[in-house]
Amino acid sequence: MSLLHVPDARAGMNAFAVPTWWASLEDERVTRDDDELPDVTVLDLADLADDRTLLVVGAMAELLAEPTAEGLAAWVAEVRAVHTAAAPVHLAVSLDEVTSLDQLLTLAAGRRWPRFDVAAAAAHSDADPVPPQSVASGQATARAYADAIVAQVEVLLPPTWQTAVDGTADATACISRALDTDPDLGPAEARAMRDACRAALADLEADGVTISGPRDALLWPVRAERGLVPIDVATDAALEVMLGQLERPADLAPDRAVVVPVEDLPARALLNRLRGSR
Amino acid sequence: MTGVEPLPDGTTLVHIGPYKTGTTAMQGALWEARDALATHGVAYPGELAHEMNAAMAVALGRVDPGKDIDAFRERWYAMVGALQDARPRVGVLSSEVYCEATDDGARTVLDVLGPQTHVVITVRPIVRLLGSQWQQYGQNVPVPSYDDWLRAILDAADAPDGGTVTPSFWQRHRHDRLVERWVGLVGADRVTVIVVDDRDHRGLPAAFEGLLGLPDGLLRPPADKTNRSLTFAEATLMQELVDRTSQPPWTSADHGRFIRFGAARGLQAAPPDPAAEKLLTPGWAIDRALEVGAAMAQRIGASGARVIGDLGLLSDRALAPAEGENAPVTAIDPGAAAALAAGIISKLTGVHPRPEHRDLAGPVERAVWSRHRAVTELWDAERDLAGARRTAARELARRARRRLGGD
Repeated sequence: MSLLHVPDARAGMNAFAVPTWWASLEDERVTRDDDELPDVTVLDLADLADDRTLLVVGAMAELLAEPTAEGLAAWVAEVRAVHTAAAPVHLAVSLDEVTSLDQLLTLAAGRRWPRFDVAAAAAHSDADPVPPQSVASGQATARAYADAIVAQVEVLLPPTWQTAVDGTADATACISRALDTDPDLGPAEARAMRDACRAALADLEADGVTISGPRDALLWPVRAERGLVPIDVATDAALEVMLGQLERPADLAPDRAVVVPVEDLPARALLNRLRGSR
Repeated sequence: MTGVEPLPDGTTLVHIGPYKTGTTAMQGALWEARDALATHGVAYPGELAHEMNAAMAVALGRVDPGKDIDAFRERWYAMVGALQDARPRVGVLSSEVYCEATDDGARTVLDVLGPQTHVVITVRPIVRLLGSQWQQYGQNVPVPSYDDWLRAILDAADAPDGGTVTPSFWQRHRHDRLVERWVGLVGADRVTVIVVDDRDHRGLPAAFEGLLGLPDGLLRPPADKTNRSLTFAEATLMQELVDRTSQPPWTSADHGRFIRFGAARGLQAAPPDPAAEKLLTPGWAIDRALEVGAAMAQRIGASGARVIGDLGLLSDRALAPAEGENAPVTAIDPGAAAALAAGIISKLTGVHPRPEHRDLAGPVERAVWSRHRAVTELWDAERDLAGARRTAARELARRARRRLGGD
């Protein structure tokens, strides 16, 4: 049994965590002790490895009172204020509103919502094309990226279409988030802010804070450079492909019957099986 | 090739590279021509054009992260066993991995192949290898900027251990020491050095045709767009990605599979942005590399090994790459940025939905495997259900026919 600490809504974080929402869940795992832990709702969970404090966050622009180094420092201080050795903070980046306990627990586990939908994935095969990707209007560089990635992605094996689609969508969304067509800051200030955000996240992680979800949303957006994609943004998008897969696995039953076709077995493994365990 | 004496019947030719000396082209040419080679008594065994991990397992005692060394060692022995059973006029093995063989590894290779082994070493001017090797390292491990790397490398040209920055560069590319080492192992009469002239695309295949006693023009290196040099911006992008995936939470197994053989291949498969600047090599580095090349040519000439081609090319300024210094780049063409991610995605879709994931798979591969496996199991279940329904329908029809027949 481990405890999931969910601080009340604050500074753009845990916007869902208000008394009426908790009351609507009517779940006995949800407890509250304002004397012991003020401003925190606690969930008693069987399948959480260790106690942790959950902060569900959206894009950085929604978190900062002002897009300055001081504003960033203030947000970092908010995170550090609830980060303890006993219940370290997990920052779950979610660009969608939290509407269910199932969703909340998925995010707390470091997974993405919605989860991998095997039935939807099984409705397609490698014969299906990867669909065109949408980007916000006016994002010419993001549009060029989206068109290029769809043209270049290959689906190599029949059951992997959804992987190609998710990877393409994750990368394109990352580029679209990062390239701001209507910036609040000038190019140099936005670049400095993005770098400062990246450094702040690295410091938090070095202190034991964990992060899941599309964490590039916690980096300040920048402008495309004369129609080109900034190197760090292109790298973020490539990494987002792998992070999206890592955090959206399928849950195979651990005790599922595994029938290994003989032709799939290396000869040595087959021999070992025939010999039996010693 | 005119003037190249064929190797004696019963020889096993081992082409040991080193890297970036036309090995991929020759492996492709040999692989594509296997059937034609067989008709001339030449065998090029294996299941791939380049059995890299099999060669690594035996020659280096390691394999790429995530691979099973025992399985690849067995594969190498099986490959050599097949070669020895077939008893071709000439057998050929080719892997640049052999150039880095440990003492034990080299001894094993030579002992297993037997006394009729002939070692072929292809050499190119060092000055032409600097840029491509920096790029290659940058696809695998974090490396300093090109200028800093050049200084570190060229300062260490005479260091016995190759220096501290990417020491394998000189372990691979002190071609003179490489030749002397293998001459020491097998004797000068069993080592041939081929000097590769990049201006003559027929030179290297023709040299192999001559050694193998093949008709002119039989070996044709395939057009390989997946091994092209990266532009400076692409190399910078690749190195940013490698810097970030060479540390936790990323693992070497996932890095190897999805970055080295995914992202990098994706970039190389896409056409380069014609407006992008190529990698430029500073003049001081060109001068120094030509000096090193001249010294190497002298020692190779003195080694006693047979030399095909002109050792003077190793210090020929006419072969130097584009000279200059690149301005730092901070952004890249959207098509190249997309190619980086597309390379990873395509590699992810190659994760096989086998019943269990590979033992040595990294976390990303395991997650992707679980998705593919879940889809496969659902398809299997649906097939089983459809099959059961068909069986039930057939049974009902059979009973109905019996009843009607009975009436």
